[in-house]
Amino acid sequence: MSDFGLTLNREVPHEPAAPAGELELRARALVSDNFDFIWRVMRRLGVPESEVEDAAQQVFIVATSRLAEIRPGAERSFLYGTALRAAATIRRGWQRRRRRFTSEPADCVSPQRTPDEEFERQRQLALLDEVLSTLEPELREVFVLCEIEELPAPEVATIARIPVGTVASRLRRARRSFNDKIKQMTAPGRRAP
Amino acid sequence: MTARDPLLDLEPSEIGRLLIRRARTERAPAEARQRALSKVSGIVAGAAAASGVSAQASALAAKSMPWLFAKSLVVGMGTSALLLATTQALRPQAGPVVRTSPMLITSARAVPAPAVIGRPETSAAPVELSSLATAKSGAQTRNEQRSQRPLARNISAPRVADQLSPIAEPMTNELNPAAAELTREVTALQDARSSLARDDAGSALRQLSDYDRDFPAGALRIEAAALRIEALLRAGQRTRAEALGSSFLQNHAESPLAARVRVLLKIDRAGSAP
Repeated sequence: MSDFGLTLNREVPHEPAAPAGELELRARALVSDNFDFIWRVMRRLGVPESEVEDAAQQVFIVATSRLAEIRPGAERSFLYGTALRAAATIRRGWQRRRRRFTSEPADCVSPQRTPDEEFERQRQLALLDEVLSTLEPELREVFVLCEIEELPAPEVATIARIPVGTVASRLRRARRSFNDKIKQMTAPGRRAP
Repeated sequence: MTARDPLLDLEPSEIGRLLIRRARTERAPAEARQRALSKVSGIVAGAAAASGVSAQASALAAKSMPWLFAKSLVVGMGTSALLLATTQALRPQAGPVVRTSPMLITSARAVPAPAVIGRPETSAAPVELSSLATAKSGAQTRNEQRSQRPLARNISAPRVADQLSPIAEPMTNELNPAAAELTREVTALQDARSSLARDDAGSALRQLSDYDRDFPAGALRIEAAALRIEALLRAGQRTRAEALGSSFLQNHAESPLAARVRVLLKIDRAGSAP
């Protein structure tokens, strides 16, 4: 299983510093190619919409600062790993402060969507987030990466730093919990979130 | 009374599939992506500008040293420059204000760099910006450990992100003193570096003494030591610079700044006497 570039700084031999232009191009490509993914991952890991832009931006700032160490082709795994830990940090911060954040829909209404379609989209995402919030954090991470981002199990194992077997077992448990929660929600008399 | 969501009338399995499909198609707002692009461009540009502060040393290295040492010097300074540039980018700046929240670091407020590895004497770079990139977050639960073969890696390693400044915590002294401390350290060294750039070695040495007093166990003390060696050379205190340099190379031989220190000391020998 490849390391996807996630090595400690001291283990990586120093590469010659790339010209600033090349670095900027690479940093911009990092954002252009991966911003949606990181946004989605952080949202599905419980970062509220009011916070996700700042959090996503910080993930890319971190990645930019370590660009020289990230092997070409391993950028996404690096970003995902950083996003996972950032989202976990945010969640811990919420629990410590005992504040309840209300998510306000992000200002991302597509001109192609009607107001009704946008409303439906937001409601479905809110429902999904409600279901995901009932999963244990380690199950939620694997579920988001495997089911929503459709990453292969070996890559998820590297990102989350767990064995492939653990990815598989967590995914099974996550799917079971996910489906059970939806069944509860579809019980007669259930109100909308 | 809230009406029942018609979505819930579908089969549970269909609901799950629909929700996941919906999530897969979610896109970030274009404005948010654009702001992130501007931010990373600014960071890289800032690093390039900060590297120019030490351009004199690197130019001399290129003339008098083998190419390998010159590249090591650039890398070492580049790492430091990127650190300082990133921190600079997180300071209050004029221009478009990134949408902020009370809970997270934003580019529109004075906030420290994301994180630092707390053992600079052993890490390859003086300061890491992302402990999050190397912290372990996937420790197995005890049940999983019992049921599976133990990992080859140390799964019980302390979570560095828990100990250092998580990037998503509110950046106030009260709630994240480690991150605020790092900001002050970076600022202190940046001031000293600026003094050197103005050929004011005396001020740089005073500022470095202040750094030692204010941060006796600072995360950037290796960087400060290397900067002090350069300042001493510029101030004409070659004997003291060489003594500190010898101690530095003995204690931090693996640091990327070691090559820089070697170059500085050799440059001084090769150049005209101060």
